[in-house]
Amino acid sequence: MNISTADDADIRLLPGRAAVVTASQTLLVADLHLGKAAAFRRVGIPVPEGSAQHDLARLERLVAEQFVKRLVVLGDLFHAKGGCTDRVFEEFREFRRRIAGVECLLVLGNHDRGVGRIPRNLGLDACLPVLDEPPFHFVHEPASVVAPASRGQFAIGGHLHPKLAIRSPGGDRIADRCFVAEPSLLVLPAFGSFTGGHLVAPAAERRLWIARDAAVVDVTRMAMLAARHRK
Amino acid sequence: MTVPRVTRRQPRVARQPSAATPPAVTRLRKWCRGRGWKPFPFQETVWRNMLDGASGLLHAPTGTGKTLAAWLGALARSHGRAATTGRDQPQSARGGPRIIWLTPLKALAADTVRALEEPLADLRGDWLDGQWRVGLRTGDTSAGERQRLRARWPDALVTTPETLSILLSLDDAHDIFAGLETVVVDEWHELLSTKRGVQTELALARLRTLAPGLCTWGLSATLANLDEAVAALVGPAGADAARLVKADIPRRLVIETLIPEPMERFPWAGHMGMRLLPQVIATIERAATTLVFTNTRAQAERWFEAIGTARPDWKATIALHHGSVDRELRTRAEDGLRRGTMKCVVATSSLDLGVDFGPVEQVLQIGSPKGIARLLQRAGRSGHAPGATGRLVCVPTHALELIECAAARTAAEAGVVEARPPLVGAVDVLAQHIVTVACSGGFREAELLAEVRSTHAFSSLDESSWRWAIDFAAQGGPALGAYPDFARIKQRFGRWYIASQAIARKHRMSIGTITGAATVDVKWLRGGRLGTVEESFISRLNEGDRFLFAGRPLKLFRFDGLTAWVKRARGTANLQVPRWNGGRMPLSMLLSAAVLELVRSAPGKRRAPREVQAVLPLLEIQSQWSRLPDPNTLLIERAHSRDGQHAFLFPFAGRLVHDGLAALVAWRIASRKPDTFVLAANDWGLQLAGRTPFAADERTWRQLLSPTNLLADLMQCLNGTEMAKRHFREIARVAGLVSGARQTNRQTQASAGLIFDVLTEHDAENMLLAQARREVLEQQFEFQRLRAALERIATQEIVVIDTPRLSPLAFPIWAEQIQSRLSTQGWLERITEMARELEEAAAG
Repeated sequence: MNISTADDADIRLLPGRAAVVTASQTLLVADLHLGKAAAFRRVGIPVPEGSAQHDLARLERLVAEQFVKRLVVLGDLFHAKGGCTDRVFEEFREFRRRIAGVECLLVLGNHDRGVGRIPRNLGLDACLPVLDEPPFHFVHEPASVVAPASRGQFAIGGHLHPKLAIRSPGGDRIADRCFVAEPSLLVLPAFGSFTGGHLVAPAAERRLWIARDAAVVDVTRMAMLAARHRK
Repeated sequence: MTVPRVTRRQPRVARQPSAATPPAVTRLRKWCRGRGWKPFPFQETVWRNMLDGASGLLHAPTGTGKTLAAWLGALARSHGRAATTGRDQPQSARGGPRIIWLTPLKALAADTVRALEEPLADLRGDWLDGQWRVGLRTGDTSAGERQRLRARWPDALVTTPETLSILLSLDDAHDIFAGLETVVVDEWHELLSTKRGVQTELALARLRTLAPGLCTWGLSATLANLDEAVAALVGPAGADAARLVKADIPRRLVIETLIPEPMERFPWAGHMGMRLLPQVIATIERAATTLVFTNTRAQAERWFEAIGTARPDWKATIALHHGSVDRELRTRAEDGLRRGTMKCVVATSSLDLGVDFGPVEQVLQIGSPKGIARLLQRAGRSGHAPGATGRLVCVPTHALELIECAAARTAAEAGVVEARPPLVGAVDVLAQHIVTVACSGGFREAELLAEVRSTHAFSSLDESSWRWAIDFAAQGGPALGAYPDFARIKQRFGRWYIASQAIARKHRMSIGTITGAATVDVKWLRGGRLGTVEESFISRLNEGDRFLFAGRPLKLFRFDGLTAWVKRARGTANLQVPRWNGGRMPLSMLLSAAVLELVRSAPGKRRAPREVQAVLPLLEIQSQWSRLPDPNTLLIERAHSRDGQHAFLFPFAGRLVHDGLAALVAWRIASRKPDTFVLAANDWGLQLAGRTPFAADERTWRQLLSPTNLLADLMQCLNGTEMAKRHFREIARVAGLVSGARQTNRQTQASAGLIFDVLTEHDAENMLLAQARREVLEQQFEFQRLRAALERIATQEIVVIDTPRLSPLAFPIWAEQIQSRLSTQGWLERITEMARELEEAAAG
């Protein structure tokens, strides 16, 4: 599988934590966690709104710029039942109307399942547990990808919120969300801006890209060198 | 420049209330006689003042009988009131405690109860009612015990500031505290310059409202700013009437320093000081019981391990004591100290406070004590056996620390001590307090504002900050006004109430101002808990890695996110030691000046202190390669090494100020031309390292070090660093933005850093962000001290010297483990540079 930032790649990694499957003209994002701020406020923690609107606007821009036919959200579109206020759903409907020309699918994530019944009138064309389109296997939790991989499939998912920290000998440190690829697997960074991350380490046959809003940089070798340097 | 003299104001001499001896004092004298001693004059002064209904502060070195002075005085006052009001009955089910005894550490509370119980055994049934009881409530008190306490309050309650706030948030706080007569704040100096002190001030103001006529006493070590300590304790309005009592009893104290032999082989830099191990062992040998204090937990771990390895025969009689070690292991060490069965206990500041351990004969201080008050506090933990002399031995960890030891020793001997300024204007603590008061029956704004303004911390609170704090409590701040789904307090008929019982419960769980980094439990695979360690440390380890913790070599077996499961490791070579944050105090301003004076005057002075004589050869090298700094000159050294170009500046203003100065100068250079610098600082100076040579002319440096535009420039460079974000964690916790405890509800987990980003992006006016920046300036950089340093530099001559290699003064700064980085370069440039560095390092 050819994964890179180049135009002719099978899977193109985009600035802003998204990817495009070139063959099917599909835009992929994972882990938006809409309604997270509202979930916090519900339990008395004063977090302002704004990040969700910002993320949906970014997503809308990506859809427009990439001329894709389809948007697939790889799970955790919504954060929690307590945060799914009418307003959160209405904002999503509004977003859906603005990208009316593309198909919009949700591969259900653990958080989406926690929301309970996702309203039908959100404009999602389908909510699926997994999406199989050989050779691709779209799934929220890549922990469950062992079986498809053995069938020669390539799994793409989210859920992990991967993050990478690199320290240079000179003392500079960069910590940011990243894409993680293994021979039969790609994990996307969390798209939502009000989401945390889990550190991943470099390993053999694992490729890593730091995913910034402005750029995607392949740091596989850097991460490996930095890990070796620290030893 | 001379050592700044501490202004010691004439204490308001506590007047003798009446010539005739009150019967209560006669009774207490009798009790003392029964024990075979005579009360000190200061103790009687406190008793008389308390009987008189006055508030005040008693200050004295540790272990001089402050507890008995305040406790017996409070009992006498209670007895007198009972006689006049006829309330000489055991507490009824509805009445609350008569006396509250606040202690800063919950670990001390049980010891305190024991100490307070002691005189009661004799006084009960004779002078006091037979049912007189002392109770204990802290964060560790079980739910059942809390119920029992509430069903029938003890006459005296020992508690902590956090638990007092929780009690103040109860529905019936008015009833509980209406009959309160006296509150005693133990170790007030420990709380004074912290947010817990602010929390205590607010709680005391609340208690004064609920129980008019309340008498407030503080117990404190001697400080340079006793007047402020009094004002913070009783409120500025009450300060004039408050009494200041000094426990004037001489305590014999000997302070010495271990001089390395041979001196030539003693390192120029380092934090552990293991070279002195043989001398330390010999020093421990000569006393029955020794307390070894270190400045950091990592030092404590290393030294405990080293002493145990050097003397296996002591295995059963040495122990390790620091805040991360499991409570049970710590209690065992404390009991051993109390009973005199311990040869030696290695401790951090975890043993700075507390009830005295009689058997401790001497105290060892590993590393510079960094402050005179701290030196005295620690020295005071020894020599409590009758007729004994306190004894403290300083153990330097590198050559220049000898000078710090000399400066601290001479200052302590001269009776000079630092100030501890109380904090003012912490809106996070205020926001928390507002919700607390709302929980207990609500409040009218004007009344609570007047009460809050009666404290020292908020005496000049302006209307807009108050408005913001109320808004924040009510709706999370102006930016959240549009969200009806969020509200903690609600207004009805002019009074604010808590919005729901669920929110009250949640608030009570989160009361407090102490925050720590996320920690994980360390447990044996075969069962048993060892303590806690910072998550950031464990997450860097791989399974099978070996590390030193709780004095044991351990192997990480598995880390599941909540618990690090460990097995015993064999051998002690190459063990990693967790680096806990904090614990590294900057050299106090008083000591910095004293150190500079010693460095300047040493070479010509025939009678320099022994410690300084030992480092004379090193100072000689310094003056050959460069020159010795002096109070009229700012010394700047330029050097280059394999790492690149270096500039070392020696303002002698303390590590925190140097951190701030380094960031400021780096930012000023890099704002002209995008660049990246590595910064490091210690208590003597700071280092900037970069790729291009630093300026050699005085004029450029004078511009870089100008006090003009200081605040604006510092704010700018704060934005360029992660510092405000890191500091925000604590503020967010106190104000209720993130939970301190590990959240059970996964749906509402977010790091403070993430919330900081969201607020910066979507609620930039949030006052908690402003407070984070202000706190970084004040606490992280000691802003006032930094400005003073720059103003002093403006009057100094600046000398720039190129050194052939790193000078003896520069070397320890270069070797500092903690370095930061300031960059004005773009993200892509930085990552490219990092890649280049990594490739170079890999190529060898």
